[in-house]
Amino acid sequence: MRSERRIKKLVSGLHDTTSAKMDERVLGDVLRSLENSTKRTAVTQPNMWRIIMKSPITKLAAAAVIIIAVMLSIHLWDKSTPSAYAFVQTVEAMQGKRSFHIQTYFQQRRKDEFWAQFDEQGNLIRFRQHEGESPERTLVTIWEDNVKSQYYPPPWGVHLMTRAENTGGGLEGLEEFDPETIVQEINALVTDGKAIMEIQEPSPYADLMTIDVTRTDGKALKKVLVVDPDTKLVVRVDDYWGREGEQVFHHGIEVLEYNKSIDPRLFKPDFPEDTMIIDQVSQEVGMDQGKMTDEEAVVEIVRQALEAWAKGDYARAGKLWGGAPTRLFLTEHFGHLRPVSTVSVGQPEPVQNIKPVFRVKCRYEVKHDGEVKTVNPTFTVIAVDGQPGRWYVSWFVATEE
Amino acid sequence: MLEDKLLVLKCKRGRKDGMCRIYEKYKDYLLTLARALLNDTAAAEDVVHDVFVSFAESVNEFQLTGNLRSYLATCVANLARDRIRASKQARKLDAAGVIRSGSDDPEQSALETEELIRLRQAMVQLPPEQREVVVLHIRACMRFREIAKLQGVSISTAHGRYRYALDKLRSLLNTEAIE
Repeated sequence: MRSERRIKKLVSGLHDTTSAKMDERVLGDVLRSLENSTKRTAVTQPNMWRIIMKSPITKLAAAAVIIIAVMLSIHLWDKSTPSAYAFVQTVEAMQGKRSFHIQTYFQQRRKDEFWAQFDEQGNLIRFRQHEGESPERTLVTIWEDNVKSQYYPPPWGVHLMTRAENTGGGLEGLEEFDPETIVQEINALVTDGKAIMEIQEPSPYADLMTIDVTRTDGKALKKVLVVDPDTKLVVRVDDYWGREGEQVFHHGIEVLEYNKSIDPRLFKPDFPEDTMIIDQVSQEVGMDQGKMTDEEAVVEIVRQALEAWAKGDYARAGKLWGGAPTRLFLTEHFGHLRPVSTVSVGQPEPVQNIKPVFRVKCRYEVKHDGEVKTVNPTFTVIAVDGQPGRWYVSWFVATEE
Repeated sequence: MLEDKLLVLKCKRGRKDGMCRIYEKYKDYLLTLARALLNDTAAAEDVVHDVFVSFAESVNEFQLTGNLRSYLATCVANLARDRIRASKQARKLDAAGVIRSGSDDPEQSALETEELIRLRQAMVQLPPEQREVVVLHIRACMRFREIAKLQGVSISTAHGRYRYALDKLRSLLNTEAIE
């Protein structure tokens, strides 16, 4: 039986690609139309300068306006840099991003560090992410050419390679932290009258400007931007949540480098030598769902994976465990879960996730230090990225005695 | 997306790179919607062509108040509906036994899984207005409120069409799976 979720997944998966022939035809016509449309506008709009210059009175008025404007701008420039500053300068300075290095914060704690590079069109080419507070517990993610390499620090010590497309720019939430996008969004909010911008004087940051952006559309949000007055680049953006007077810091980003060259070695996996590689890119892994429902397939793969492990068939078990090497089954944190009795596989429970994930509770006996005891591990079964219809058992296991 | 606002601004200034970027960004997405609505690659390509040409012609008067992606998706849905009406395709597609193959493009067919082909075949059997709700809600991520406005019906009618469509798809796909 196909569930509603499966149908939604199928419809979401519909994808067509334009052919080179179509691109040529459409772009040719579109650019011609754009050209005609622009020419038409130029022809229909009167030349204001010519109208002004026709009459001596308007000519004099125009001269007066120019003199006043020049005097005003000299006066403003003289007062101080912030007065002469316009946010559009920051929007322009941030435009055309090619790379950034940022640190994100969540409720005052360091969260992720990102290094990202983009092509001329602003499309993401590659990134590296460090997640975690201490260096020895850092989860590292590197993405390039639709391949994601993730390093899970000990006790796992695993390098997981999966297929991952940057659909809609949403990879690892990177777009959310993109300083160029954040600045453009703020500018639009202010332009649309949904927020007001105010320069904090004096700035709490020495030599830097601080700008408060307060929503006026009923949303209890405030952003605080810190801008370098020389480069006009944003160096920090903090988000405060709550009504006026009750606002607390929620999350923020610090722009450590913007459009600076990044060492290419940073985007190559540089994980410790004894790391176990689980490769889901160059080999077929897991089990094919066939005509089974998601739930049936999940129960079946857990049963088969545990049976293969019990028999010591590590080639088969490794494939069902998503391409895990034999070494993984012998590790301290995992090896003690090898079944020695018939396995009782429970009902799968779906987990809210961006991709299909199920948890399955099991019950069976294991032998540990010569002693047989019953364990109740919960296995997680995940759809294999880039291998439609296939599922694998994750080596992240929750156990209860 | 704010990038879109800047791109529209570039287009208004006659900048071809702005228009190329908009095309690159949304071409596959719009073609996917058009093909899901029409089940005809050539017709879908024409719809996408017409949407972009019309956008380029009117870009100087165009005011982006919401989301460019949704705006273009709405244009695709409107043009696809006009085409279905004009060519009486709706009647043809609804008629029992006149189920076309899932894809009229062999190259495209070869790239799709059997399951997706079956889905396309099942979707062809839905009334156009139900198919539109399914495609726009699931694939274009449009809200029922937006779809209702587009179809000129109440939100509950749009929601009802969606439920009917999903029930029918489930029934069609399960029947085929059993066969």
